[in-house]
Amino acid sequence: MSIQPFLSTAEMPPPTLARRPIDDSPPPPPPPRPEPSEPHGALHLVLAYLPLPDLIAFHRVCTQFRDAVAGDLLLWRDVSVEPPLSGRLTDEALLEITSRADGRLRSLALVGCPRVSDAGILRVARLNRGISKLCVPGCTYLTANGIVRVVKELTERNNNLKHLKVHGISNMTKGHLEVLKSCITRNLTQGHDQSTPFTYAYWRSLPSNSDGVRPIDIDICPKCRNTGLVFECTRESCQSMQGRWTECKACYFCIARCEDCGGCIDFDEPGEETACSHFLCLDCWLRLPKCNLCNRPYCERHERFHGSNGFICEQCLFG
Amino acid sequence: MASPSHTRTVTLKSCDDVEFVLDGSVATLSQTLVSAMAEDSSSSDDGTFTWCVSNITGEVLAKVVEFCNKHADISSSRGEDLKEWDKAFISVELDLLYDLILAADNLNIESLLDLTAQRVADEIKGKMPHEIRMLFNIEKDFTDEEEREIRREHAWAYGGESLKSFL
Repeated sequence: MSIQPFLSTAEMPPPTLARRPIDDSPPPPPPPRPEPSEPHGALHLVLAYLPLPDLIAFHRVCTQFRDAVAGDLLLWRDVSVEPPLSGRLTDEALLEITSRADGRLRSLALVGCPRVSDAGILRVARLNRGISKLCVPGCTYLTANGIVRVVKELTERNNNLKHLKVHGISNMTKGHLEVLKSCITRNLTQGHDQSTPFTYAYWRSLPSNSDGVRPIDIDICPKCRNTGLVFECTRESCQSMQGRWTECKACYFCIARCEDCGGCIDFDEPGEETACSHFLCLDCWLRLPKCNLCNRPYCERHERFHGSNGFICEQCLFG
Repeated sequence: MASPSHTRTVTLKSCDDVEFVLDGSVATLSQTLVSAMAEDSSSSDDGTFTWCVSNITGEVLAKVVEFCNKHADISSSRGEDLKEWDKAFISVELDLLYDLILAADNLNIESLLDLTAQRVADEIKGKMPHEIRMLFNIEKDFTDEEEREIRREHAWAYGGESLKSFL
């Protein structure tokens, strides 16, 4: 009896990973998507976390969400319209979205909405007298007289209005500001927190629709006597010298501020030139990373070109 | 007389009978447990308290307990580290995220609800309605008339929509 070899080469199975002919059958189709179904219940709890554009998008998804979004007035009590929606907001649209709160609007923030008029905002104020926060920075169609009328309307019988943000409204005079101050401070039952200095860096760090520390964001600049955002200095040398600090309190046009730390800029110092259009103080200029070609830094707002081994600024990159 | 909640031990029991034992101080993150413990007068002498959550599975409850343990531990939960930990914690499948949202709502744990719901909200950010339907696998069930009505409403917000569909 002959013994069969365990595996002779003649009986070797063909290699399993045979090369596939090029025009073989198409690759298997991807697993089919499950059939579209009812939305998950958990998504209803997410609605409260959505900003306005996403809430409007959800309103158009299906009947269930349309009813959920339209029927819950709590979702509409704090309306905040920011770019890119700002440019499209008309008086009618403003009335439509604010009417969903059913007269119980709590805060209204319109950031840079150039089409909203005095009449439009006054109509919303008349229907929602409980507004406690009104932010309309950069709404260029609004006038100072219009703002005063709205604030008077809101504070006449109710005393809910606590915060007003109106920088960027043209022709705001000292007289207008006095009236606004008297309306708002009448409302403030207790002294406002003045401990946080209102510096340029602090203001920049605030989201554009937030209220900040002061009841009214603008003030009268001690230097030029115009109304506007008046910043305090962050420099230690300015803060420690009492006289200098009060002297170093002014609007952005009177005293240039460092984009990074918010300190005042002494134009005798060398090296403030940046690759972006903003100013930097010498300390921040030295600290920030520089362009590999022209040795100018970007302020932190423009840092997107940073790589692991330095960066080349936009101007050098694109000529 | 019930002993103060932070000195007691809490046993959480999931719907598939998985048990988790928590320190009383950890359990105080859940407002549901706090009020349940306050109402519970039949406290045993050893200070244990058992709470059955009928609609949360063991897998989900394990994540919830992990979250509570981390957030109640004040010594390790500081600023940036905790943020990083939270970020890793919610890098999970959508289905588990849904379950976590419902569990956070059920047990009334505000910080967990904020974290999980915000994660879903971030996912939605900037999406068009049809993209949201794709993302969450939702069926569009409007009639033609409803569709027209819904297009008319908030039409101002979609000024560039028709142009966008060409691009």
